[in-house]
Formats: sequence, structure tokens, C-alpha cells
Amino acid sequence: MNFPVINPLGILPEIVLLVTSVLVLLIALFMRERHSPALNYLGAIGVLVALGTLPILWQGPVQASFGGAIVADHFSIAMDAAILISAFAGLLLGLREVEPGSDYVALVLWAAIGMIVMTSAVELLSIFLGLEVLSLPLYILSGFRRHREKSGEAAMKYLLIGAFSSGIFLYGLAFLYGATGSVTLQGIQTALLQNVGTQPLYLELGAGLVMAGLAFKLALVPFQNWVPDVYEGAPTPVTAFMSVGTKAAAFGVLARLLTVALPAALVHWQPVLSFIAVLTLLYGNLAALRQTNMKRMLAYSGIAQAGYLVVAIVANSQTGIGSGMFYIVAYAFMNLGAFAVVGALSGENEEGAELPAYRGLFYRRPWLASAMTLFLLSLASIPPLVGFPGKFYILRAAVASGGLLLAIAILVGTMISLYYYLRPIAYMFQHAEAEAPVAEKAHWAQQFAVGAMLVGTLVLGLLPSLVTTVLQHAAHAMYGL
Amino acid sequence: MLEVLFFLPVLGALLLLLLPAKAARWTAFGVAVLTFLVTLYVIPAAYGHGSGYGTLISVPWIGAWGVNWSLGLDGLSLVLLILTTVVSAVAIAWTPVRDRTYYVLFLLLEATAIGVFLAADLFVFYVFWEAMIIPAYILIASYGGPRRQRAAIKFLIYSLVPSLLMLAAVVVLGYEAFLQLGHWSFSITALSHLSLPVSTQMWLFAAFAFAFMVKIPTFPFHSWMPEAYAEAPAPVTTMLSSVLSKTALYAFLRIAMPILPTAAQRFAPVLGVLALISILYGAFVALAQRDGKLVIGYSSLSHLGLVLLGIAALSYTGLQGAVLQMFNHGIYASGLFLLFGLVEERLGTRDLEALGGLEARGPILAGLFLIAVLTGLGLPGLQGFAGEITLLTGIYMTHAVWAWIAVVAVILSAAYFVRLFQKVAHGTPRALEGATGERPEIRGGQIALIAPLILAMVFFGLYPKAITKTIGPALTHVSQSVRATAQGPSAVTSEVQVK
Repeated sequence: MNFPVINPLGILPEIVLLVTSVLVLLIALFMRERHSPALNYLGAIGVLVALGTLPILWQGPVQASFGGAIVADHFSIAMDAAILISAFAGLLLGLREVEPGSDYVALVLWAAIGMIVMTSAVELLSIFLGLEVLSLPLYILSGFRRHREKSGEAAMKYLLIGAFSSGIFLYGLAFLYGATGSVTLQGIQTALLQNVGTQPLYLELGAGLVMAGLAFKLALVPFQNWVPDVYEGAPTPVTAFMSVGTKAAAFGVLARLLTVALPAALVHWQPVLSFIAVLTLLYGNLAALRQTNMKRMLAYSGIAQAGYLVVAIVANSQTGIGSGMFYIVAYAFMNLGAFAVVGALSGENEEGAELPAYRGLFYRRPWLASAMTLFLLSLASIPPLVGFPGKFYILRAAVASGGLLLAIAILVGTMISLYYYLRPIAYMFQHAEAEAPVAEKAHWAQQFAVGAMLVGTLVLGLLPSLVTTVLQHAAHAMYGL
Repeated sequence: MLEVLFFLPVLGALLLLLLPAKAARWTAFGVAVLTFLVTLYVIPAAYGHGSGYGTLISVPWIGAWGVNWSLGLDGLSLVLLILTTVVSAVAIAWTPVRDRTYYVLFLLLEATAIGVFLAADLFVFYVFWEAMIIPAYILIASYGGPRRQRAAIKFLIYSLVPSLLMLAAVVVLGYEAFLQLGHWSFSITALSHLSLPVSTQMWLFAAFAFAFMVKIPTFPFHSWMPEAYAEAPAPVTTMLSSVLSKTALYAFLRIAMPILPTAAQRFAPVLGVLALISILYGAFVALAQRDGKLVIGYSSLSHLGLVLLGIAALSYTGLQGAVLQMFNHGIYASGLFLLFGLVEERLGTRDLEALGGLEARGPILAGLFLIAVLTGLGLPGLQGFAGEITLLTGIYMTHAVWAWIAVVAVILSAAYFVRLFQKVAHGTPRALEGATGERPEIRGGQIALIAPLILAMVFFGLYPKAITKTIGPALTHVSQSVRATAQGPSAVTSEVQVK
């Protein structure tokens, strides 16, 4: 049997993460205490090293590995940065939130590997492989707080629905292969363009099922039902990691699939996705209005953000892809920041995630409350915070591609979202009548995470051009394939 | 130097975070005074050749999107910058607050307002316009009266929702620039040279006008105002009424009219009618108010309605009067809000039925308040009159009926201001020493603080030409762009000087 040539450069970040996870597990064997924060630090360092490899990969030529199935091009490198940032935050936040231990660290690292594989895979089977590597650790992580009923419920729901969506994805993949005779994205594109051996029915069925499978992960309407329960039940650091990392990975795959494999079918998927985008962002924003639990509110807000991301894809241009990538980065900073604050405030029972716990926060914890205010304002896309250029970029792409109605839908969604983003802020500036549950002082790692995300939110809000140029390159890379 | 104007208060705010809380008030005051001095220093830079900006700095900000960090200064922005920096300096030091966050937010509010007046790029304008809302919101929400939460959130929603419509208009304008010039651009000058179809202009103008009219505020978008003005601490109310409302009126002149001239002409009657309703509605409500702060608040609604009417009249004199009155209103409304704030602080109530007898116990405070009231009601020789008469002349030139209706409100204005002063100063003291037991008199430091405003009321009442001369070239530019009848810069000032 012939094995394809493995180019280690093409999977450098994955290798770093894998080595780190193995190290973590091995060291844990020889440690007297089973739960030690040192393992989290080691994992976080591994993530930083993986982040450090990205600029090196960026400068070099495009590295392909596994016979061209996995490609570290500019697009995947840029998406990997967002994924690694969220993994980093997940590990740091996990220090106090969950019992630190080798299993938690290794699972986060493995999920990150899956996400990275997804963004760099240009072949359907590898994409599926990434999807599974991403999903399995996350099922376990969702139920990581074993004593909480809600956590178990979240894990069960996520497992069932996730397994179902994987099946759908795989099914669609088979149809796509049947229709075009190829599993590589490039091959599908060629087959479609030459119209060789394509079966329209199988093609549509296959593309539809694959997109549905991705829509589960990206939490698009009508496949979004699992999100609130899972986000609420899972430990906060896991939710933070999952919300950003999974979105980045699924966005990466969807963007690549549509622009590389299926540009010939543009007329079919563009109207469908436009419709889904509008539904998603309206549903997410409207449903978030009624939430009184911060994690559920952020979950619904996450659904709305996924809607904005799909608008970026529908714009079907380099600007569109670039704007989607920028939005992922923006979302990483503001959303991880918001979850970090929620995590710092909610104790063991997570009663701190309820809205009333935020009453008067500004007078008890001025710095934390100020940071949360900025994160929420950024999510509501108020300048000069990173959410604003993010929204502006997508609007710009939508308008330039003739999608004025989509742009208006985004603005309507944003208007609705003002209510639920601003309500916690109003709570924070109220004087508390009754004594609110006082959480213990935030762990330094939580403070660090909040600070780092705040810096990102402010700096990229003021100087978005620091990354827009890079992302524009990255978007170009995908079209250049 | 222009960027210094913006960065000085921002750096000052950062500096405050490092200093002990005790030093916050006077450090903030120092920074605000320094900003004012820099404004005086840049006065020569406002005058250039021709009608464009006297000084324009432009650096690429987000190059790929065609966004430039560009700030421009001309006579129009200069006048409003002077207003902003003076009022901010007086208001920031007016009341001692034990929390340094208050001063940090106040300086940020000043900085963002300065940014709005300096912005020569629509994107930059939008960023400042929105960023201005955040410190204003937190100032109301955490330092205001008992029902401040509701007031603050209402202010926030009313500010943000129209702004998003404006954002759509901004993006579309940038795209139109791309279609016509070949690259995205948000430069206000470049955008005003685009040729846009009337239908596009109409809805773009509607989006801008909506956002601006909420901020002024104008009937029927004013319902955030009474609560916000009543609940905010007096210095913050001062900023809302004297500075933030001017950013919106300024934006009509700087953005909406030059970029969308045809739509401005078509919309002028609508703006005019809404302005007339504001004038009358504000006046009548002010007449019936028991809350003294809201008498001043509704008087602002009425007076700023007159300013908008002057803009909608589309005559050169109307515009001239509008800017003159923007400046004047900024000064006397600050005086009114701050001095009445002191009355409230010393006597513990704003209820006009409970107040009274200030003249006997606090003659200096009563005297200063009287000057501000007389300026507000438009006594000749004081600031308010010059603006009002120019406005009415300008309006009469194009819309005689509007002018006749507006005159009614001017008369009413005398009625409610005299009533306000009577209730506060005359009669038997009912609420004296109510809350604090302190003598209701202004202290030396505050007299020094308010003195520049009082002097300005007198000086610009006698010499309005100082303002009209400054804004001349910029206004010619605006009025030419809407093809208004240009009367030349000196036609009306001579008329005013007769008295």
C-alpha cells in the first residue's frame, strides 16, 4: 500500500498541538496531584508556539500535505489564528472554571486540531475527518462539569445532534462524489465547469446535505435549536472556545466549498443562502431579546452573528470573504471577552450568569464592568470598537455585490440587538438594592484573558487596517487556488 | 495642530486614571482650559484661500476601504469648537464629584464632540458621532437623578437606532463614490462632487435627517429629551443641550446639505413644518412646566427649532442666523442649566412652586441667573437677540408665513423665561435651606467659572459680527451648494448693529 507523502510543514500547527497534548497527558501520569494548573499553562504555551508558527508559514510558499488534501494557504493560516486565540482563551479561562487537569487540556487541544484541519482541508474526506476530530472532544467538554445536570444534558444533546449532522454531512459528501466523480474541491469545480458526468439531482442533493451538515455546526436556521441549551449547559470556558472556534472552522469550510468547489452553481446556492442568512440573523436577534441568562443571550447572539457571516459569504467576492474573516477575528475578541467576564462572575453554580447578578456591578467591580460594557457595545457594533469595522466591512461587501436588501437586513438585526446588548449595561449601572451574589475575586488568568481581549477589541477597532490588508491577501489566496 | 485638539482631552482622560481621585476635578479643568487655549491658537488656521477648509489634514486610516483620518477646520467648525471647549471647561469643573470616572468620561465626551466638528471624512464623522454616545450614556446612567436608568437607556436607544440608518447611507455614499470615481471614498468634499440621482438623494437625506433631528431634538423625535435632561446632572445636561445638539445642526450644514443639495431643497418644507411645530410645542410646554430644569429644556427645543427653521429657509441670512444662534444658544443655555443646577443643589428641589425668594438670600446667584434669563428671552443688547433677529429676517426672506408663526414663539419665550425667573427669585422663600441648610449663594470659584459665559452673552450681544464674519466663507459655500439666494455676508449684521 502506498502512503501519500506527508509534508510536515503543511501541518505544522497541528503537529505542535498534538505534541503538546501528548506531553500533557504523559506528564500528568507522573504528577502526584491529578489536578494542576501547570498543565493548563503547558497547553497554553503549546497554543502560543502553534500561533508562532503561523507567521513562518505565511511567509513561505503554500505548503500542501497528504497529497494535496491539506493545504496551509493564507486563508487557512488566517482562520487558524482566530481558532488558536479561542483555544488559548479556553485554556486560560478553564483554570478556575473547571477542575484543571490533563484531560481538559488535551481535549481542547484536539478540538483545535480538528478545527485547523477543517480550515486547511481542500478535500471532502479530510474535511469530514476534521469535523469529527473537532466534534468528539467537544461532546465530552460540554459535559465536563459532571455534577451539574444541565452540563450532562448539554453534552447529550450536542452528541445526538452532532452525530446526526455528521451523518448528514457524510451522506451529502457521498452524493457529491457520485455526481462529480471527485472528492477534491478543485476536482468538483473542474467537473462542474466541464459538465462531465455530473448528475444534477445528485449534485444538488449532495451540496444541500453537505451545507446542512455545516449549517448545524455554524448554527444557521433551521439547524440552530441545540445552541442555547448546549451553550448554557457547557462550562463557560468551553462555550467560549466552542462559539468562536467552531464558527471559524465551519465558516472556513463553507467559504471554501462554495467559492472553490461550487462557483458554477452560484445561481443555486446564492438565493438559498441569502434567505437562510436573513432568517438566521432575524431569529437570533429576536430570540435573544427574551433571554435573562447571559450565556443563553450570547448563544442567541452567536446565531445572529452566524447570519452576518453568511451574508459575507453570499456577497461572493474577495471583499466578502475578507469581511467574513475579519468578522471572525472581531467576534473572537469581543465574544471571548464577554464570556471571560461571564466566567469570572459566575461561581460554581453559575448563578452569576443570570442578568440580575449584574445589577450594580459597576460599583462593585468597576474594571470588570467597564470591560463588559465595551465588549457588549462592540457586539452591538458601536465605534470605535472592533465590532463596528467588522459590521461595516460586511455591509460594504454586501452593498458592493448588489445586496442592498441584505445590508438592510443586517442593520435591522443590529437595531434589534441593541436592546439585549444594552440591557445588561443598564443593569450594571443600577445601584443594587439587595445584596447580589458576590463572586470571589477573578483568577489572574481570567483577568489576563479579559485584558487581552479588551486590547484586541480596542486596537483593532481603532486600527482595523492592521489586519484588513492581511485578510484581503488571505481571501485572495482562496480565489487563486 | 488639529489632531492635538482631539488628542489632548483623550490623553487628559488617560492621565486622570493615573492621578489620585482628589486631583481629578482640577486636572480635568486644566486639560479642558488647555484645549480651549489650543482652539484659540488654531484660529488663524481656519482661514484659507477660497471657500474650502482653512486647514485640512488627511492620513490614510483604513486604506483598503478608502477611509482617511482627515480633519478640517474652517470658520463654521471653528465657531462651534470654541463653543465646545468653553462650555466643556466651565461645565467640567462646575460641581465636585468624588469619582474620577466622571471626569474621565466628561473629557472623552468633549474629545468626541470636538472630533465631530473636525471630521472631514464621513467615516470619521460617523465614528465620532457614535462614540460620543457612550460617555454621554454612562454619565447619565451613573451620575444622574433617581430615574436615571430609564432616561439613559432611552437616550441610548434613541441615539443608536437612527444612527444605524445613517450608517447605511454612509456605506451607500462610499459605494457611489466607488462607482463614479473608481475608488471608495468618504471625503466630504469628494462626496459633495458626486452627481446622485434624486431618488437616491431623497432616501439618503431622509436617513441623515432622521439621525440629526433625533439628536437636536426636533418634534416628533424629542421624547427622549425631557427625561434625559431632567435626570442628568446639570453639567451633563449642559453638554447635551449646548454641545451635542449643535453637532446635529452642524451636520445638516456640513454633510446633509452640501452632499445632497437637491434632496435638501425638496425636504426643506418638511423640515420647516417640523421645526415650526417644535418651536410652538416647546414654547407651550415650557410655559406649563413645574420643573424649572425642564422649562429650560423645552425652551431649548423651541429655540433650536427656530435654528432648524433658519436652515430650512435655505437663505444665506437664514443660515447665518442659524449658526449665530447655535453659538449663542450654546452659551446662554449653559449659563441657564448650570446656574439653575446650583439653585437645585442648594435648595434641594427643582419644583417651581416650592422655589422662591432667591433674590433675598442669594443676590449674586439671582443676578447672574437674571442675565442668563434675559439673554435667553432675547433682550436686545444681549446675545440671544442678535441671533433671533437674524434668523427671523432670513426666514422672512423666503417664507414670510413661517416667520410670522415663529414670532409668536419669540413672544412666548419672554413669557416662560420671566415666569421662570419670578418663581425662582421673587416671592416668599419656601424651600430655602431645604436640603443642605446652606445659604443659596454662589461661591467665588463658581463666579469665576461662569464669568466667561456671562461676558460672552454681553460681548457677542454687542458684537455679533465676530461670529458672522468668521462663518461667512463657509456659509457661502453651503448656501451656494443648495443654490440658495446668497445675500453677501454683511447684509444683516449691519441691520443688527443699528440697535
